[in-house]
Amino acid sequence: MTTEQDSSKTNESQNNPQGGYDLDSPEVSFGRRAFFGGILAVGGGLWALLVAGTPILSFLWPKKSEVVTVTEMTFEKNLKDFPIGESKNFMFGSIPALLIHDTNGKLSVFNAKCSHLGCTVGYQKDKDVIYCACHGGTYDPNTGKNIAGPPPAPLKPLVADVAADGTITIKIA
Amino acid sequence: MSIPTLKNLNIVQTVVDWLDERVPLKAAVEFAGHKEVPVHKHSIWYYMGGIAALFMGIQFATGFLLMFHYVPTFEGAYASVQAINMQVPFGWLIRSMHSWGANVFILVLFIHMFSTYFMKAYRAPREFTWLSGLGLVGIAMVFGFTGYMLPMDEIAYFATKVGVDVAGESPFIGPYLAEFVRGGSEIGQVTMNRFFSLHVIALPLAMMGLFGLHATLIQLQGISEPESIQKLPKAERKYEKFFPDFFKKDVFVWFAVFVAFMLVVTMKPWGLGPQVDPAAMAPIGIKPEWYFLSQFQALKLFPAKILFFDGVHVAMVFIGTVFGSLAVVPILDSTGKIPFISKFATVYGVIFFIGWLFLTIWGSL
Repeated sequence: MTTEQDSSKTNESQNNPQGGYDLDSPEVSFGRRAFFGGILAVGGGLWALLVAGTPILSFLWPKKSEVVTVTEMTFEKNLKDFPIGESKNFMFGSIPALLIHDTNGKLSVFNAKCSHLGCTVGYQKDKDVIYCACHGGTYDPNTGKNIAGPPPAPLKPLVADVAADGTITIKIA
Repeated sequence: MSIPTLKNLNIVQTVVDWLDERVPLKAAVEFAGHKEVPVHKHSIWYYMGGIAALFMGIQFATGFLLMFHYVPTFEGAYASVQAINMQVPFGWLIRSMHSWGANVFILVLFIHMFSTYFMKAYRAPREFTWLSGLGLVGIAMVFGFTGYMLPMDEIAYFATKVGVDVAGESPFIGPYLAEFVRGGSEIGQVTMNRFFSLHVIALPLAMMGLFGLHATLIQLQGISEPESIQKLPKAERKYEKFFPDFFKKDVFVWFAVFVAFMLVVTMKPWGLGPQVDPAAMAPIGIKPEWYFLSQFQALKLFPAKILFFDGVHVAMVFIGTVFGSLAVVPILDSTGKIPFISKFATVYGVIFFIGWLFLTIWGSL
């Protein structure tokens, strides 16, 4: 069986009867030159990528944001001014939040970021659902469970405490 | 060059000769004349590339002008666009040209893309012309996406949110990618800086480079003829020189299109939505620009779960595959010698076009 490799060996030994490689033969020196040239090009390219890429990527990489994480805040309205069926979108620190005085008379509060693609959801009183207008995601206003449309997960809950005087405090769950 | 005496001095000729010795003008004109444009009943589609180039020029010029008044800050952008629209003399005109221009540019690119697809102009040796054109469509869409964040109205904010979150759903690198594009965990000033520098530096350079390649390839390889014309005997095929014959008609078409464009720009000046309120819910009926409607509608249609997978991931794979196929199918059909593949490419194109049109119209309702 003669493979390509075998025949090339035969050629080499014919070119150089003493055996070994004839370094002066143009094929060999071209092969070696191309080989080292290739290594130089690939190595040089990687080196350039590293040297140029490291500072550029580091320069562009977002720094750890100094987000002041809010753990608790007083809601702008008293429970007395926030009857059943009422809802309000507001900022809880840096995240959009949604407080609903739901039909059971309970206060439900959620992180208002839709679990589908991050739009801000809102309460639709007439249909009694939480709705995302971007792609039509629908959530249960009592539990935050995703009930229709594309959202893959429920809304993340927050906690609403009511003091004796009706002051509403929003806390992280 | 002989030194002219006063008697035989011809100033124009002297200047041209002087220049030609230093800059190969005549060679350039001759090179431009090498390209021939086939004349046949489908020739009208040959104007689309030129019209797209015209709108690229309009976008560069009006974008440059807008930068003199636009303020790329999260807090100040909206007010500055409002000032451009209401206070700056002819600001409304420049902005209206830029916003309308972006839409018409992308529309013309789509027409150009579909017409070259169905004329099978992508076939060997023009594969790279097709791929570079596809790249230009991609860059134009990223231009649109980064551009419509800049006024910081309602749609700017939510479109950016959704766009970045789509990137965030990519496998493995998604969350890092989203964080990187946003420049943090929320859309803010850093995001704006990123989008602005992409929109005014990186994308224009990329577009000019790729357009240079696209135009050079066309100049070198000539304009493709549809199969039906190639089959005709030589005597029945007609050609005209691109320069100056076709070019003169090109200029006329540019003029006509520009007049129609200015009519729309001035009669229906581009407006500005309400300012974004990060706390408020996404407004009912919010939609992206028309050229993202097919993807938007597809994202709406995929349910939360498909078997074990999140619907949004399946939707992304679907959208990515469908648009990626525009780079693959023409290459499969590049020889044009396999009748089955040739037929498949045509049928695929028809299905793609109808599907795209259907989703776009559905998404707009």
